[in-house]
Amino acid sequence: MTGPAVSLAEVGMQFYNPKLKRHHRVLDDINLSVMPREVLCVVGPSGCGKSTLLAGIGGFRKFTEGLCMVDGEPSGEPNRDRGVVFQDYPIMEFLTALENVEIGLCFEKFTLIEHLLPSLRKQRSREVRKIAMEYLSFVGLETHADKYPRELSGGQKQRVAIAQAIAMKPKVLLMDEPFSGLDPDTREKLQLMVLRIHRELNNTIFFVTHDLEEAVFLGNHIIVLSQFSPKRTAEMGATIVYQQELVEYKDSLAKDTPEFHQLIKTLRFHFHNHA
Amino acid sequence: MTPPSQPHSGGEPPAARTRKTFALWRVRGQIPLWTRWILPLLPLGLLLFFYMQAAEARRLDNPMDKLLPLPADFVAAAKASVLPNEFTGEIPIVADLKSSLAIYAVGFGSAVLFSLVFGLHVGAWPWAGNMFDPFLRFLSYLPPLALLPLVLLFLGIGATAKTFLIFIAVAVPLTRSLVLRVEGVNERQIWNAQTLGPTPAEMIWVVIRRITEPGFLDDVRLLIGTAWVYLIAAELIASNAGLGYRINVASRNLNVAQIFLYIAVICLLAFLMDRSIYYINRSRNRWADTK
Repeated sequence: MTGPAVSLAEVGMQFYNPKLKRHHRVLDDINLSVMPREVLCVVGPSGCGKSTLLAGIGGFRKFTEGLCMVDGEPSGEPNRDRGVVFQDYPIMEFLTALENVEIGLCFEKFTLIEHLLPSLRKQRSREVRKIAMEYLSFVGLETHADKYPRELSGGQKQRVAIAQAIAMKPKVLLMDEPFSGLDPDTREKLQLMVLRIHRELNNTIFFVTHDLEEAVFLGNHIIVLSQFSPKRTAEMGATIVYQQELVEYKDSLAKDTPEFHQLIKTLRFHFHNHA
Repeated sequence: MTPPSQPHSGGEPPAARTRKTFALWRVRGQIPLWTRWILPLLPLGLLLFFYMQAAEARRLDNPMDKLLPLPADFVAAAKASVLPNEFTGEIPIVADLKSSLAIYAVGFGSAVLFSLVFGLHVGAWPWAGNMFDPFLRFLSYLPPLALLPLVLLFLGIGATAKTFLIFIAVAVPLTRSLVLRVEGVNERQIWNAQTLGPTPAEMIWVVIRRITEPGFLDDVRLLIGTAWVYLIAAELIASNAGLGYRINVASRNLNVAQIFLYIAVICLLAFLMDRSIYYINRSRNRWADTK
């Protein structure tokens, strides 16, 4: 694969609000290319359209302008190539942690009838279960396999969500502020896990966050989205105001280096000057 | 800034800040265990007590009184209901239950099945929602009992008409509610599921059905009573068998004890149905907070 994993050309999005009878522009003129195996971090003020950008790339919402290519093809419907992890862990509450990881593999292997009548698939279920268990132990939840999401803490739910997403071996992993509801300790552990996933799966990660430190720690390509670019008028949406490629600082000690702080300072400057 | 003046700095001690309250007198508090069985029985006991007072007073006033039967009359009515009919050899209450429950089962069962299939799809496909939502809303404004004369004209006074009436009365609200439940599923939950590669049928029958199932079964429970209302009403108005029919006959014969008895049977049946669906719901959906 030589081309970019995700490329956006003059992409924009606007909604029509029928109650207010006016168009509401969220994204405007976004040009971006994310290379394979890159960890792209998107930062920007809250409500500026970071999540909408992610939803567009995932195929959950349609960009109203421009062209969005994922893996050389126009981004159509959501599919297995684009895994997603959201902030509020919308995993399947009716399945246990293990079944949540299994379900994607089950969709791959079983027909609808076999889903509704599990007794038809005894032998193959066991194989699927084994694979799912490996992913669950990858995120360190093998002891909670039989718990339902509501019995798990926020961090554990997010681990299930991550295991569920990576079990599909997605080419692009979309993460929408995945750790912003978690305590600092858990958050750091999960950040390290994201790096581990990146190392082992060798995939592209599109990481939305509002935390500059997180962005610098995880990303090797950071973009700052802003609602207010210098030329902006009220009708314009968010656009990229700053882009930076990074050298990798990829272990837990990196957070203390002077380069790390310098980068955060630079980013903060752009973040605030355009927001 | 000056500190706020302290009203109790003088002689008397400050009022206690935590108040000791009686256990039952706490808003949304825990009630003690011993009340759990007594409190639910209290309203029923009170009702029975006042009923007995009134019935005995009437009997003293007029020994031939038939409006408020005494326990002995209930026993007689019960005996009459379980002893075989001298001509046909049928036990009256069994015959009535057979007739009513058959209609109820077919009408209610088909309504639940129809609502499940139709509601899931109307909720899941935006075009289907667009197509059927106004129609369903129109139907839900329609009082099913107003259809009864028409239904009787078209389908006669037999079982078909009553089955149809129950079907309409249950299927419309159940479908509408399920459509709303499906449309209310968190959109990110749908998105998340879509990235796991289900077919549309799997999305509907594996993901959405499971998410909406606890709520759907709760709706089914709520509609048990509604279905009984329409069945009994239809049987009272036009029929030649069933629990409602027997109540109608008893009313013409001024057999109040039998009416009470049959009402109790209907309540008991509805209660048993409600409980069984509740337990099915609880055992199938341990992940949800079923109440």
